[in-house]
Amino acid sequence: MNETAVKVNELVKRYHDLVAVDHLNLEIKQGEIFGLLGPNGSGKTTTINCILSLLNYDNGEIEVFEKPMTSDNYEAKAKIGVVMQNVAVFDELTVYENIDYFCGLYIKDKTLRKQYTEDAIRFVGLEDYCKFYPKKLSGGLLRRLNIACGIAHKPKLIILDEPTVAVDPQSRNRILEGIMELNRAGATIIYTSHYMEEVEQICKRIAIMDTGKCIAMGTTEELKKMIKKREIITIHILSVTEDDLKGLRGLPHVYSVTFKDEKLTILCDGGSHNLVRVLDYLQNKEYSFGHIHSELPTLNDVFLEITGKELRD
Amino acid sequence: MQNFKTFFQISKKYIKTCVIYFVIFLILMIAMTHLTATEKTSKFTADTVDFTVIDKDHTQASQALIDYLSKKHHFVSFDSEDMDSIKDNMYFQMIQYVIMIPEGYEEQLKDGKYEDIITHSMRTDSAAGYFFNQDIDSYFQALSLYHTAGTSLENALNQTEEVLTEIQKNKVEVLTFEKSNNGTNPSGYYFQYFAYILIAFMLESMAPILSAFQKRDLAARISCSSMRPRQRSIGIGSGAIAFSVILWVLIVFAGLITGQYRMDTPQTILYMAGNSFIYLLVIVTLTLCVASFHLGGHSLSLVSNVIGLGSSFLCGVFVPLWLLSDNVTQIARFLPTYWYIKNNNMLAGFNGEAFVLGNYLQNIGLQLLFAVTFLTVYFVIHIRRQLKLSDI
Repeated sequence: MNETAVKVNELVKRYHDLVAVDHLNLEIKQGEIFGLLGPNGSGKTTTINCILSLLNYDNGEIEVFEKPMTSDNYEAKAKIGVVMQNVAVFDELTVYENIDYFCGLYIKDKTLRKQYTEDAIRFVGLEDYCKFYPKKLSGGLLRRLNIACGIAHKPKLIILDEPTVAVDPQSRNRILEGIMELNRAGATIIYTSHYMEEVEQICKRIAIMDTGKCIAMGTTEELKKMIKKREIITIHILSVTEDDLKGLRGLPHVYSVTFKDEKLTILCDGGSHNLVRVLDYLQNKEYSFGHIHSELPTLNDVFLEITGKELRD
Repeated sequence: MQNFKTFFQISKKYIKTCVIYFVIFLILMIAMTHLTATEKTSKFTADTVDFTVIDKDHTQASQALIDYLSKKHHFVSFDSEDMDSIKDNMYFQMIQYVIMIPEGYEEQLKDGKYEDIITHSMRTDSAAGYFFNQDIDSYFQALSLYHTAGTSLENALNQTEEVLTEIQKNKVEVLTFEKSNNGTNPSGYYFQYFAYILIAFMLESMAPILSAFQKRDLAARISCSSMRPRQRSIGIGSGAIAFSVILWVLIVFAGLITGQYRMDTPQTILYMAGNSFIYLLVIVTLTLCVASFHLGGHSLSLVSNVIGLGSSFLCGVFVPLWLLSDNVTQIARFLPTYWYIKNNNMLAGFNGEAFVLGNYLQNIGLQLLFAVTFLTVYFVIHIRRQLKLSDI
């Protein structure tokens, strides 16, 4: 499955003087879960809307299933399922009627549509809410309905634009599990979010966006390798002398050592057994210490190191 | 078919509103039709005016005038001719009309002067007073005819009284004729109030359905689907047409079932129904325009009331056109309801207007022009919105 599902080439979208998407290039292979990660206003939704031909763009080309994507490419549209950032359902229709309506936009055969609608209801776990109106559903259930409407026709490419915004953890896990299940069933997923944990959890490849540009792209590991910081060691300790701080800085792979509020923070740029070396050093100097924590860098660290700001700024 | 089906699924949500409007309309119609008929009868029984005369002339001619008027109206005698006391009586509605016959009245008649030889005072809020004026005018017109033809004043006075009394007998027949509503068609009342109820109905029930399809996020989501825009429009459009026609058929048949039509004039009923169908087209296009603005429940109700009540008051639905001032009717001409009501008035024979097919068709044409205008406005809004959606 190495065929391209979506190819974006030099995409530029401007709103007057603001460049929302700036020469963006993406290539999403069929069968992968591709994450678009970036803070609010980074151009994720604009990119999605351009891919879906909902927006005109100023420059560039977009291909879906290796054919130019235009507003009248109905063949491509039939293969795409969309879950919008804002819940887009009819308030006047029940859960069942809503899913049936959206499925009916693609599937003409009544029997098949009924089967697909029921499959979608089961998939998102809304069996007990079929006759409920959207206004009666909680935020999490409403998001699930939104997803069901987007995937009911069993599309090959599913675009989910921040599907877990304002969702409780239980529903969020269910949604994420569902997305992975859809991918296992063969669907290509484009997932946009500003929640790095989610993207890290489910996406095989990730593009990090900021101010309309793709600032980094690759697998989680590849992205983390792009930055200097590989391991962060934190140790609670009453005091450390300046000489010992210098000594710690001299250890292999350690490139930064800070001590503040009884917390020693050591940043390492790679290598292995860094924690063992640091603890050996402190024990040899007869320091007594409390809580020890070692963590690997997150995508937020990647974002922070590349852009100089937090992902959730 | 998907959008057509969904149109009616959404309409289920508004069925309660529809039923409430429909029931209120029917109750209102039945009540109004009966009330209007009763009002007409009482209008003619009120034609007898309580009047008094301040006679300064005290001649045979002045007495002849009093006698003539007393035959038709009720003469109230006062001991005093004090004007203040008479005005008090007028204020308390003991009398509605005062005639002042000046000294030398008979002499003036003999000299052939008939105009402005008596003065009068009447309650301005009494329509019967105007009718009384007509009686006095008729009297002097007849008297002048006989007298100028060479008849002596005494004979002229007698002949005038005789002839006018005879005419009055005929007039009574005319009044009795109108009292039974033979001159007007009561079906007209039903179709008159139809104008208001249709606006309320359509704006409160069909506009929200159309708005639902046009909500920004939903419209964008639907645009992502493989259903072609033309297919979508046909589905929604046919839903709107079917919904409107069903509504119209229901209202027209409800009139038939509840006995609102005078069935001895089937052709007139058909013309009225035709007029109402054209008006339905106008309101459907107006609803399309209003729905384009995605108004919520309260805002939509407000707009519906402003348009429905406003046009109904201005265009003669609640208040007959002939009672409205010229300024109001000048404004009303720019509203489709005016032309609908004009046709309906003509068909119903309200205000004694006779039916002229040419005028009927002209009014239909004007209504259709409004429909075309509303449709154009709708398309302009729609296209502008599409452009904006794909640009923002």
